[in-house]
Amino acid sequence: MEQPKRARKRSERDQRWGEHGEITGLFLLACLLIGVLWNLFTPDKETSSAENRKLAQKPDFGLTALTDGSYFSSWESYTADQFPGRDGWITLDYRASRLMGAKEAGGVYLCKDNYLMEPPATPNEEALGKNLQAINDFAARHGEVRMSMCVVPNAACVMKKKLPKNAPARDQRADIQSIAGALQGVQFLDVYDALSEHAQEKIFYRTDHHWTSLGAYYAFLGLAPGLGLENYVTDFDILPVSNSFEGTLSSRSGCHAVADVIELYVAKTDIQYYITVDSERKSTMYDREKLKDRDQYAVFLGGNSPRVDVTTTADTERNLLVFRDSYTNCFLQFLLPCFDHITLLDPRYYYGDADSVINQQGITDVLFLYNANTFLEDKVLMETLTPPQESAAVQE
Amino acid sequence: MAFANLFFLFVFLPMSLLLYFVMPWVAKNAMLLALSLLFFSWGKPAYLPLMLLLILFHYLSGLEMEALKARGSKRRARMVLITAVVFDVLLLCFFKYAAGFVGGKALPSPLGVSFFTFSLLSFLFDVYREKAPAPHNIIDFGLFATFFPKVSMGPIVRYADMAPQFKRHRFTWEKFGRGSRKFIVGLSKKVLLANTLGDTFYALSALPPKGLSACGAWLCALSYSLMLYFDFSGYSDMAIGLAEMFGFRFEKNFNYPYLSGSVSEFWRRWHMSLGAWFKEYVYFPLGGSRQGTLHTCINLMAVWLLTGIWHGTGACFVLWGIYYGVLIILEKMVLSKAFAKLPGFVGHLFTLLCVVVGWVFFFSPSPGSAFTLLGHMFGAGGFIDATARYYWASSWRLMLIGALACLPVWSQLGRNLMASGKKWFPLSLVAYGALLILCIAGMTNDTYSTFLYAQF
Repeated sequence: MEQPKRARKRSERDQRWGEHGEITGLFLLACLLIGVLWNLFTPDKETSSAENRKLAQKPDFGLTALTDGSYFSSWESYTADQFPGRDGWITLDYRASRLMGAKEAGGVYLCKDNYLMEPPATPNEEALGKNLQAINDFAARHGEVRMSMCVVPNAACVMKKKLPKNAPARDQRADIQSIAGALQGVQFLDVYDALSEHAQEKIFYRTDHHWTSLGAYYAFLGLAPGLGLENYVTDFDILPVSNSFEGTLSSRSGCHAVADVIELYVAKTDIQYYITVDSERKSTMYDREKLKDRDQYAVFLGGNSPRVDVTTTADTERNLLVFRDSYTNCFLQFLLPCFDHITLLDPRYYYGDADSVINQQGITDVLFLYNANTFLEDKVLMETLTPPQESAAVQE
Repeated sequence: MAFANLFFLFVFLPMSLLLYFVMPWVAKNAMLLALSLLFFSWGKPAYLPLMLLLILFHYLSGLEMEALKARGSKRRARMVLITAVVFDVLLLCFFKYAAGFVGGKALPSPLGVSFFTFSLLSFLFDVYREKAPAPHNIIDFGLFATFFPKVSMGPIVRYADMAPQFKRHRFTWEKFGRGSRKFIVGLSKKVLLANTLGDTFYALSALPPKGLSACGAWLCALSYSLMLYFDFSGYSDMAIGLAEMFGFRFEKNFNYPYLSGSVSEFWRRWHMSLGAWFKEYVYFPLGGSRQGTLHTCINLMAVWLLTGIWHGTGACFVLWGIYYGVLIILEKMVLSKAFAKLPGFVGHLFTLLCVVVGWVFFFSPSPGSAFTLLGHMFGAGGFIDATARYYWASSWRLMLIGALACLPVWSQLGRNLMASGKKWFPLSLVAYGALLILCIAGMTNDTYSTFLYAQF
């Protein structure tokens, strides 16, 4: 008697669960509970090394933040940024969209041979015009100094063949050529050919938007005559220091299919140098500590800094000033044995004025070295190039 | 605050459920009201006093109308109604249309202003017409005005439908389960389909329409059609599901609209609560279709012009409203008889074509660009080019899944799995779990998406 009754009861219950699906409600509740607890017990992080940015922190409670609504919106970004397992979730989303046939992820082209590439930037026409004007004015003020400019085409331009089929990428060569055409008193050095001859080699990282030391090396060979260099060093010790580099494009897209190798090119020469970064003097331009971080490209110069000064024993009686972005961090390896003194200014972080640097350092050569994506969108170079009294007058 | 975001899912919702559960029955509505007010003022707390005033004003208007009617002074009740309605309409117009001119700087609209004013209007009409008694509990009424599942984007629940539920709504695990399933399905529609289809649409619509070939232009229009459907119906599913989790029942807002056999049928299946609102409070009071052909046409045009303007003031929305007015009149007069003689698929194809063309007006920034895009859809820019090949190659799977997801077979399948008892039931749980996990991944990767209908 007992047995069938219990069995009937169980089958009734099965049916009830089945029909009404209360279980899905409990299931959602359980998921929410797990999520809440996981969130509560995961300690907050300051920065995301994978995404290379600061993460939102727990918002401060205050009357203004409360009334203007920012208190509430910061809670939303705080939850999103500190969500546990964030990198894993982003990778899962990438996998799913790849499965659906996506050719881009997080605004990054998913290219052949595991290459990730930034789409060529659309020029900020207004800022670009002002920057070029400022460069021309700067060149006119310093007629005695040899002025050169090089805008390095990005991977999506040099390695066009690796882009997804039919990708509607902008023609970056045309943008670079129009920059070349607008310069006055500055010689434009084109490295497109020097790079594209080697488009089959690893001249760009597959997971990062920077060029590799090899790419910078080919560019240097192409640039050297234009820079008026003679007897420059072409023999380098090639030292692979990492095979686990996953760069910014990896984290933006969530694609972690491959890791890159970072190689250092150390000139085979007797020339010595020391380097000053943020008023700290060092004997090497490499910062091996950074290889432990996510952004291993910072092994070159320890990352971005407003001003870097290098003094060498090259004894060429030439002093170089470079206006630059992060592509120069790696390119500096090749410039080291060629100048007595090199100053690197990154206008994105450097707020001093450039004219005084020219006078103080006895600059003989100026190089504007940018990658195309940064230069086409740059909005700050003109401020660094404008003399202080003029920019003060403009402000008034 | 939007539903498809990690903060809502893992902070606001669990907190709301917990507070709702621990409250004794008498205080549950008050708790929901407090949560709804928090939801409403989230990000724009300056509008909280406005909302409180609106609740008080309508509550008193309702009571006054009821009292006046009880005393037999119908004319004065009518005055109260007209005053309140004019006030609401002016408020809506102020935020939607005039805000741009005040001080030269656009004022941010309160959350869901188009939706909650329509709800409040329905309250005024329903009480005046004695479809429902005026509320005597201001907490219940406040909940009707601001209930957080519906306040930002509807459904535009009519007062007469929600009023009986305040006292009698009951939390049951059965409802909670059904609500949870709707919520997960809605979330998936939004995050997995609408957001990803949006990548294709936004990429294509950012290109100059003159550069699009026919294949590209069609992809642009079709991806928008699917995206808008999954965006809005996904939101509605989430809203209805959430309401059900708290024991309330709202009518469905979408009923597989893309399967309609005629344009009028499409509008009975798309954003049903808005259509029902216009029918109930504009079309019928104007006389509906009972006063002769000419009058019917005028009424229809009025309704459709208002529907267009409700979405926005741009010339495109006006055109879009007129377009549907004309189509529906044509259908009533001529086409329905013609289609009756033709095989069924003709009507379906015709409807889909009309709807997709309609959406082109809906999403285009100006009539000029809408006509350009339409021209290119019909061959003005060649048949296919590299750009179109690229976007079709990257999105055809998604478009196919989207098209299939417009069919009712999936919910039927889900219901059958649910009902199959122990045998297949775990499979449905796995499916819901997988959807939820993919949604979390999608939300983590996409912190900035908003709902399309939130702008109307």
